[in-house]
Amino acid sequence: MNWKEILLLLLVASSVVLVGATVVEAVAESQATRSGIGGPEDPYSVSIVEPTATRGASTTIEATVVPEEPSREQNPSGRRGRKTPEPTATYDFSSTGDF
Amino acid sequence: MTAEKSAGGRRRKGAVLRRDRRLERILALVALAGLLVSWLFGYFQSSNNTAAKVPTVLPGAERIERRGDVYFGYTEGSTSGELVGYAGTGQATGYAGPIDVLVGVDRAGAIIGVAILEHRETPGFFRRLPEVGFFRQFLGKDYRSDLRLAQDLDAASGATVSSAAVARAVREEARALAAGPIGAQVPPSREPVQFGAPEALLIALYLVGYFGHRSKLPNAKRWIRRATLIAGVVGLGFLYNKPLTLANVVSLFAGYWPDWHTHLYWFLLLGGILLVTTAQGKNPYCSWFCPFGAVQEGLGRIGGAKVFRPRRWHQRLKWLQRGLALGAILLGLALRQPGAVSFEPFGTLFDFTGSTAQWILLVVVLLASLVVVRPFCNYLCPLDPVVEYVGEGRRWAQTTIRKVRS
Repeated sequence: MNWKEILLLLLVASSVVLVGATVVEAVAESQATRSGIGGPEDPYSVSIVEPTATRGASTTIEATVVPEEPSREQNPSGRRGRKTPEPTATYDFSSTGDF
Repeated sequence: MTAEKSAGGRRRKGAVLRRDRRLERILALVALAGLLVSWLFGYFQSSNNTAAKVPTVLPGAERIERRGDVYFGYTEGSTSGELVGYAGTGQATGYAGPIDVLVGVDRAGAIIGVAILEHRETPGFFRRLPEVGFFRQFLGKDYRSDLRLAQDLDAASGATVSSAAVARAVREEARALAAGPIGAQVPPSREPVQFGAPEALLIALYLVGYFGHRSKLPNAKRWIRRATLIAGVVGLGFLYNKPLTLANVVSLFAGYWPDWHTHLYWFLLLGGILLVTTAQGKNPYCSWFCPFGAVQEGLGRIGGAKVFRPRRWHQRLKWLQRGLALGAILLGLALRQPGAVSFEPFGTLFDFTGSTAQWILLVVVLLASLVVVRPFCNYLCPLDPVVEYVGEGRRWAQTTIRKVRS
């Protein structure tokens, strides 16, 4: 093996290590961004004022899922009979910022 | 005796070639199976918990109700609470895939909160958006605003495509909320076809590359090629920073096909390579106007670089290059993160943005370019094996057609 071959192999080996480091770093940052999104220090969310749910310490947010109005097939009369929709599920979001 | 020996040598060589061909086809099938598995893995992995993030875009809301796709925010826990506003999710395609946003509007349709739910962009570039306060610009604007870059919003420098995508997603969702629960008349959304200097330059380079390659005059061919390489470095590199990257390829495989009105360049770039490589059997991009290849070639001219392909290492290093490309594509598909696995130091050179590892890689490659012709293209670039794969598919199709006809 001559010096040129050794140089080429060294070049490729160091580049492969750097490529690996680049990918690992980018994927880690990407995953960290993903898990950080919605958290208390989330730089990817803004609002007019600080939302109590994510920034506060003791507030509890209740989210209820209300079913959609029945479709025409399900409700041929077309009358909207439900004044106050009944929630089908309730979620409690504690404000630890751990969304 | 000599003739017998040479005939025996030819037979052995032929057998080795046939064995290599078989092995290549088996590996190609294994690669395809790997792509399928990681695609499916990524498909079933991607999810986000939107409901948990709604309070971040509806400040003051203490109770959230979901009706269909719209979230209603109220001030207090009882049903008689005052309505704060509405929230919903929007999506638009950025550089490497869809960007999901959550938009909160008040009762009049003014934007009171914006949150990114998920993105697939290159992290180093997307990070610029919060750094320059891009998201804050939406607050207070309402559904009537077009939210266009350079008119209503300032794009984050170097992340224009991502900025434009976020703006589109926020505008469309704000308008959907205005037309839905608010019941307002919303202006029609027209997305003009984005055809500008980068698109025109790309078409011109393809045409010159295609016809220049077929030129019978070696001198003219050499000068035309030099001109396209310089145009590639200046235009596609430093001016617009729009070279072909692995992120484009992974987003294509992942099915993140953007709207052609807003991403005509993406279609021209990938479509052009596929079309010309399939039609002509030659890849015009890499040899005629790839900006990074051109920079390496220019440095090679300065340093007097030579083509160096040691026989015993060349094939092994080519397989290493293919392995790197395949590994990055599989990871990108499995994580649905095309931007994160794009390891080429193109943005580092043309936009001066990159991680420490990318800066070191860039310096190593540029120094090596002084003594070896196009070291990155020959042994590291993940795009070369992809284009090679397309060329191999063309050859396979031609052979099959010939066999069927005969």
